[in-house]
Amino acid sequence: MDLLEKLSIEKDKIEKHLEELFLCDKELEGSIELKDLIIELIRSGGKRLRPALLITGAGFGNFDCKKNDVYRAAAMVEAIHLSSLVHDDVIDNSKKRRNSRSVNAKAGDKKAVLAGSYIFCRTVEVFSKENNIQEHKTINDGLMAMCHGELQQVDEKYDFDIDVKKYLKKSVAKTAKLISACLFSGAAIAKADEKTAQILAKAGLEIGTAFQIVDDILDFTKDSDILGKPSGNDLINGNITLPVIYAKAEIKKRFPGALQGNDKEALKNAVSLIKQSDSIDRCYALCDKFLVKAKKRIEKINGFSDAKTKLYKIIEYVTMREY
Amino acid sequence: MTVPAFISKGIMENLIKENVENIINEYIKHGRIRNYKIKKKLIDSIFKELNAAETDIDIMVRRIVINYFLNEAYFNHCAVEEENKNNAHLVIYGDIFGVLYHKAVIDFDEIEYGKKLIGELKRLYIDAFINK
Repeated sequence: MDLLEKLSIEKDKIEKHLEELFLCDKELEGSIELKDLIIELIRSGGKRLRPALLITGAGFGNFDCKKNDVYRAAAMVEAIHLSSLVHDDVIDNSKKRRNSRSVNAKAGDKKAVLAGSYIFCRTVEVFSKENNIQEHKTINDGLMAMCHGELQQVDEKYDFDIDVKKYLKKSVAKTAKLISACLFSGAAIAKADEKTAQILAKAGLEIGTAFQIVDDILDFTKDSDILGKPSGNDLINGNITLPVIYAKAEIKKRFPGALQGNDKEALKNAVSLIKQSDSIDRCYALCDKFLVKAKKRIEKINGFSDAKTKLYKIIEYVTMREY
Repeated sequence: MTVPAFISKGIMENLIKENVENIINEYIKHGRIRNYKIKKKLIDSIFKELNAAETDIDIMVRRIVINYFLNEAYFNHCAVEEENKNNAHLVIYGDIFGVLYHKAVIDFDEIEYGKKLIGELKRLYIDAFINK
């Protein structure tokens, strides 16, 4: 059972709004190739975590009265997320995404960047028709943080001096802020009270950080067929994530060449070392700390037991997921 | 603020461009784009394009800033080449400028104007895609 089924969220509705964003886009008729790339990307599936969070956030307000607005917004945050994935694959030179060829693998880097930018433009165009300035600002802040996180990641390639604090700052920027924005925006659209929306925003930061930690764990532990991209890819490409930071002393002792960044063999050996070390358990332990904090925050919200139950299911999903 | 008739065009133009540069600099700091040099020629060309249509200084300044970020987003993204080591920064800076554009639209309460511009940008991206 996938995440949306577990939460009793109408997946078909999200997919319909997501495809309609582009199928109803007159300008896109100008390029069948671009249109096909975008629709294929949408149909390749995905966890739809961000829509799930937005819809769950809306459950803390008057969801039933705002259902259509909520589902439309959910589709739009997923579209923004897709545009960032397309750009990420160009930045990381990844040829696979969700077990299919990435957009840059299919069409080249130049076209992939333009495709990602187009998705962003179209989403902003439609989003501009919604009047809630606070949501615009929140999503915009999340996007800016994401860009900063990406920039930090690129600038810190093969920088093995990164510590846990710097890693967490990058994770909050790259992933957690947008996730937080989704929860907050859902609550805002459904006119939840301000205090509840703020609690959800803070819990979102904790959930998002935990989510990124698990993403980084899975890069090492899952096999490439399930993950949809090669195992240990982050380290080979110079992204220094939490599993690497925890195993650094051991890597330095056994495969010092890995710390130079240009010894591919040593890097591959470091990947195997990390899988066998206690680094992964330590990462899950830190992830759990963030999720426990998030749960304690959510418990303070009065009422809304259904919405809380769904949010707890998302929290559980963050650590239990396999991709 | 509408331009008073007795103030020379040259003075008003300098005032507008100075304001534009100052505002862009503040946004660049927010975007954390390091070592960025403002493109005065880009400001000039946007100014010329908008000047015929607009006489209110405040509106001119806001819209030059908004157009500036949109142009920078487009230029950076179009500068990406196949398997080039600069691609990562071009993509990210292009994205940052895109987000700064959106931020400026919100901050200046120019949602309607922003919608019109984004429609034009979509057409530019499609043309660039077709011609790659």
